[in-house]
Parts: sequence; structure tokens; C-alpha cells
Amino acid sequence: MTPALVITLSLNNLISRFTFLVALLVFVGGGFVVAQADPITVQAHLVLGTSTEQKGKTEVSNVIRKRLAKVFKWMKYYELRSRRMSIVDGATKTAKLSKTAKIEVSNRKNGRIGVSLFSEGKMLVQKNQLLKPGNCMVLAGESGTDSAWFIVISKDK
Amino acid sequence: MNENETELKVQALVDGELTGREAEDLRARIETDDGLRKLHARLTAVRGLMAGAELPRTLPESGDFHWSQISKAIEREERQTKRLARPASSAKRLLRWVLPLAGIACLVLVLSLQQTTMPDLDILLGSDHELELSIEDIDVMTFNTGDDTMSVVWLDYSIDLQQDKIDLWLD
Amino acid sequence: MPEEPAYSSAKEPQLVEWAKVGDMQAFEELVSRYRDRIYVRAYSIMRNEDLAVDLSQNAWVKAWQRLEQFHGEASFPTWLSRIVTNLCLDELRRQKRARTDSIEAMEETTGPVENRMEMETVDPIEGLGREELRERIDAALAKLSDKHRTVIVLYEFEQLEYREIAVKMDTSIGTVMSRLFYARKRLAGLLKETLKRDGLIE
Repeated sequence: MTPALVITLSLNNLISRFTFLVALLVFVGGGFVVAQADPITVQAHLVLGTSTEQKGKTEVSNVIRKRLAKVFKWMKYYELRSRRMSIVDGATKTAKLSKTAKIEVSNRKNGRIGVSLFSEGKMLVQKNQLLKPGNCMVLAGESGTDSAWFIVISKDK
Repeated sequence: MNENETELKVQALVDGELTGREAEDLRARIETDDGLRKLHARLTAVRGLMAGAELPRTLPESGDFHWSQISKAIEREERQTKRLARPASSAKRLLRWVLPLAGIACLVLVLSLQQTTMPDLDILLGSDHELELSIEDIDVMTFNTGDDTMSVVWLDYSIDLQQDKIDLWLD
Repeated sequence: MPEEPAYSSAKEPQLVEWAKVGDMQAFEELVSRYRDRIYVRAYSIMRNEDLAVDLSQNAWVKAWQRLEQFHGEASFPTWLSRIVTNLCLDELRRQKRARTDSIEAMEETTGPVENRMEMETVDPIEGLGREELRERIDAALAKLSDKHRTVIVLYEFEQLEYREIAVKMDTSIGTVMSRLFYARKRLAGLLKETLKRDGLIE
């Protein structure tokens, strides 16, 4: 084999290896880019459940009403506040729901979210769970006589 | 016939419970007796007032909730009926004792292992759920709906629902 | 693919037939149509919201279990009404109100002054709407004892005969007649009192 041929062959080898490595890098790099997930969109609704008609208040959507009415006894469910949040992996967003109540929602990756409820600056409860699109997490409690508050959290598809 | 018996018979006549000869005789008597005529008229008036007088009411809970309670109770009863209907073989009877005991043994084992590792305020609901309470004296109840599409944390705590007008304006 | 039946527009006998073969959706439609009516009957007897709701729910469960026994002799809501009435009577028996009832029983037989009073006249009042009259009657019914209110509800609202009431209340026809008479007198007296108090009659 002539040296020229050897050099050419080696160079070819090098090029093909280089090409291969570049291709690999692009593939992996591209894959890496793809692997960093889109932000999730979370909706939070503050709802009043009551048995008496409340003039001037808007009733919740049918989807929320049906969900709550299946489990809870109140006749009417009114939406007091709603928030939509777009949260990237690892980030946390705050939504103020009333004068003294707020929630912090964290995107804990792989479909898991964390929700912390604060009232008058104090954290009451923190819940972390896998939340599938279409499902919901509800924090709730009584509010006065014969009514209740609900914070309904869901993730968009 | 004493006075009280006669009054009751007049009532029976008004209510259509007195028939035949007895009814005819009483009607004839009522025509000639002022007191009985008044009683007959008053009982008829009270009956008239009561007709359709049941006050309409609405069930004091949502229809969906009412139905969910009924359907759950029906399912419970049907499961119970099936369980009672099944003949128990001696092996099955034995299992009925062994399985719960085994379950209790496992629970004791798990609890004794967990005790050293579980933090005080965390309540492990399953690998998908973690709950932490920051305020010790709030009672909490957690559950999932049967189809697992909704998880609920019920707090013995009332949050202020009043809206901040400025924030509403900025919405 | 077979079409799902239109439950909301289906007639009651059809819904009953579907429910009889295990169609829960048909039964759910029946519940949605008659739940208020069954609740009203339970409340008329029990005068307690929570109890009335519980007994209504139990009545629906029993109805599901006994559907094959329903042959259309009466309408479905009438049949269901009988079930809830029986449950209410069972519940009343369980609740011990012997003291009140025994006093009233004595009054029925020995007759205090009240019992010897004449049956009041309650004439139709001009300007008193049907709704207002119902509310006043309802308020008066609430003041009767369980036994007297029950006999009125069974006779006037459930439209049972004396004999049927006697069987349900596990007593004699004579006692049913006495209780009905006393209850009507009491109602008339109470109605007259409230109408006088509100200046609707002199």
C-alpha cells in the first residue's frame, strides 16, 4: 500500500469518525434539547360550595361542578377566583386566591406537582403528587355554616 | 252510641269510610241535628284545606351527591349479597382466618420498620401522594374518588374567601 | 353500534322496565324525577332534614332491590312513597317518644277540656294564597306529636284508608279514627290561632 493511499484511507477514516461523532453530538444534543420538557399549564380555581343561591356570583364550569357534586353535598358551586399558570420544570409559581390565601405551585417534573396553601402568611399544608392531565387535586374545608371552600387544581393536557 | 263515637262516625262519613245503611242513617240524623250538621261541615272544611296542602320542598343536597350515595349503597348491598351467597369450602373458611392474620402480621412488620424512618408530620398516602401539615392542630382528612381522578385534602380550617378588590381589577 | 336510550325523555313505565333488567342509568333518571317528592314525604313525617334525606336514600335502595315486585298496580312514585313511609314509621318506632305519646293518648280517651272543645271553623280566607296556606298548615303540622302528624300525613297526603293506616301504625281502626279526629281538631285550632294573630280573621 502506498503512503498516499494510507494517508487517504486514514483521512477518510478520520472524516467518517468525525462525521460520526458530529452526528452523534447533534443527535444527543438534539435529544437533550427535546428531553428538556415543555412547561406545564396548571389551573387553580377557588370555589365556594353552598346550599343557598348567591346572586352576582358565577357558577363553576360543569366539569368542576359535576366532580364536586359527586362527592360533596352542597347544591351550588361558585367560582370566586381562577388562575392559569405556566410553570417550567423545577420552577414554582404563586397564585393569590383571596385577600389572605395563596398557593404556590411547583413543577416537580415527570408529571409531579407540589401545591402549598398559605393563609395569612402561614403555610397550612403542602401536597405533592403525580397529577395526570384531566385529573384534579382539591384542597378544601368548611366556610361558615353550611358552606365550604375548595381549591381545585388541574393540569392542562 | 256515646257522643264521641258519633263524632267519629261523622268523620268516617266525611272520609267516605262509612257506607251502606249506617251511612244513610247517619245522614238522616245529621239533617235534624244542628250540632252534628256543624261538625260535618267543619270536618268537610278541614278536609278541603288539607287536600294538596303538603308543602313542596327541594332535597337539601345536590342531585348528583344524592345519587352517588344511593348508587354506592346499592353496590354495597349487592357485594354483601354476593358474599353471603357464596358457599364456603373448608379451605376457604380457613383462608378467611389465615389471610386477615397474615395481613395484620404484615402491617405490624411494616409499621415497626417505618417507625424509625417516617418523619413526624408527613403522611405517606402512597408513592403518588405526599402530604405535609405545618400546623399541628389542624385536623385533616384525605381521600381519592373511586375512579382516582380526584384527590381531596379536607382541612378543619376556614380560609378567608374575601377578594382583594385591587387584584380583581387587575385580573 | 346500538344507540343509547334517551333516558330523560323516556316514559316512566319504560324506565322501570329498563331498571328491572339492571339498567342503573334508567334508575338514576327515576331518582332524578322523583327525589324531591320522596324527600317531601319523608320530611312531612320526620320533620328533620337529615333523617328525611337518609330515609329517602334508603327508600331508593330498597326500591332497587324490590323492583321485580313492582307490577304497576299503582304508579311508581306512589309505590316508592309507600316504601319511604314504612321506613319513616320504622324509624319513629325506634325513636322513643313514649312520654309525649302516652299523655296525648290519655287526652284522646279521657278528654281534657281541649278535647271536649268544638271543632273550629276555618273558612277560606280571601287574599290568603295557596302557598301561604300550605306554609301555615305545614307550621301547624310541625306542632303535632309524631303519631298525630303521621296519621294526618298517611290519610291526607298518602291517601290511605283507615284500615291501611291501622296496619302500618300497628294499631286498631278505632285508634286511627280517634287520632285523626284529634289531629284535625288540633290543626284547625292552630290554624285559627295563627290567622287571628296575623289579623287575617277576627
